[in-house]
Amino acid sequence: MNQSSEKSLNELNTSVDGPSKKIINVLLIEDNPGDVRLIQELMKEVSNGKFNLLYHDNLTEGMQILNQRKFNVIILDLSLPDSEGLHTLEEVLKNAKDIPIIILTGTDDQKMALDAVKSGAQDYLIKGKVNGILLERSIFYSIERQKIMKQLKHSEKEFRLAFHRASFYKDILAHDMNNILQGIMSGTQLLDMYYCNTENQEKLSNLSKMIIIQIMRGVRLISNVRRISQLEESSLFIHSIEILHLLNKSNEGLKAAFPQKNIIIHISSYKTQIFLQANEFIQDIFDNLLINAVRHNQNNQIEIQVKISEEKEHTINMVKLEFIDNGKGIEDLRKDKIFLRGNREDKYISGMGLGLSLVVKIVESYNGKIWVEDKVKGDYTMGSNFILLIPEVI
Amino acid sequence: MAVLIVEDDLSMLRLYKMMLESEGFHTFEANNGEKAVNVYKSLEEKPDIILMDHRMPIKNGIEASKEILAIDNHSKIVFVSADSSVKSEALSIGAIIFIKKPFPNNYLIESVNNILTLSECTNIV
Repeated sequence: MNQSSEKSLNELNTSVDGPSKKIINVLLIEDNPGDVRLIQELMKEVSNGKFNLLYHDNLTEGMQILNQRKFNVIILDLSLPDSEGLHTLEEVLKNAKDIPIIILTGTDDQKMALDAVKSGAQDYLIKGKVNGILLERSIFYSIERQKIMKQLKHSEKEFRLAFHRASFYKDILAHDMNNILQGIMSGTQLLDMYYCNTENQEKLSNLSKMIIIQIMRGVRLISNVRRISQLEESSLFIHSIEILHLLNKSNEGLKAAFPQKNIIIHISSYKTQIFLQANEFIQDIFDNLLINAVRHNQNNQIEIQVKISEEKEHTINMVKLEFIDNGKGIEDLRKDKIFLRGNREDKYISGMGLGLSLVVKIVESYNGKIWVEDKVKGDYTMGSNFILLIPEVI
Repeated sequence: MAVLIVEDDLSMLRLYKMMLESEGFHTFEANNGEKAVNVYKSLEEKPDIILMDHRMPIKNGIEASKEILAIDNHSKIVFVSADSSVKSEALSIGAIIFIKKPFPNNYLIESVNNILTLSECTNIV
């Protein structure tokens, strides 16, 4: 016999007092009508309209209502017609998310009640030994404890993120900066060695160029680190942004940055204006991808094609941006690894590492995706195709 | 005396080359671990020293060193990295010395010369 009833213990709800003025919604899952009545009576005793009790006598119905309505606390008998023992708790925990659970148990079953507390219940009450004060105390206590646990979980997550961030920056300092300093030191020492001899003019000028390259790498590294920390520390505002004019800006910037190179960029788009759910950092993505396409390209004529099309991801409208180059390409083994950073196993490609990991961070903040394919499927030497998927503004 | 330079950063590779050639060494180059193993295999007369970077595409310095030492366990590998966390692993697989970047040029040259002198002595004995 399934029975359920809902009853607000004080419909008038005028003179609420107690630790909280809010009504507390209680879900009781208990198959013994005597015990249900007892809980109802006890609540009445202390309630003053604080509690709103809803009960079900089996797990299935209890879980259905749990998924439909909001509760502040669940009082649970572990022995139900359709579920027995700790399994009952497991099922409720799966559905309860952050709702505290109080176990209702017989005098002969305290061990199981304790096991339940170890498995995630907040408290237990022994049938026949409960009075109104005890019930009320247990409810308030469980709710507060659950709140604290939630905060603890949150700060643990924050801590873990901060730890990852610290090791990421440590890796940049320990590895990249030292590499750059090595280049500057070696270059300067060789410069010192050669400069007395006027025959070495060409070597001298090559060396000073190499030193400047290293310094520029350092400058780029620092500005990328700053970008990344801005991305991580502020939850950046995502808004509607038109990208075609930004892409043209990146395009002009690229030609200015490499004046001696012959660069042809062809942009094709399915619309004349495209609005994405993004922010100004999208320019960094374009800059990074375009600069990489030039830097890793040894052809006399550097050809970059940017293709923009629509794509549906599940039910979300995405815009697909493909950056196709005629550069030296990326071997299959390296295809995933080029996006990694701060991982000791990564087979790091100098100069490219932080740039692409910055791009990944930005794309992720838009709920987008990035990956690389071959321009010609199966033959990586023909060039790469970097593909971006970013949600469109509809 | 010949040195095989394994380094993926092109400007660093050129600097090593200038450093070593100005001291009279002959040099060979590889810009990743896999190429290093292939160049090593292809050389009839094996290089006296292998200057090995760690973080490189395709195959890193540790993997490449293992493969070269498997061909000849007397190969003299000078392991160079900015990441000192690989030092113990590099030495345990058989690198002769670990040099942490950044270092002054003469430190590398002296280390290489010391290794060569030492190996000559042991050859005489």
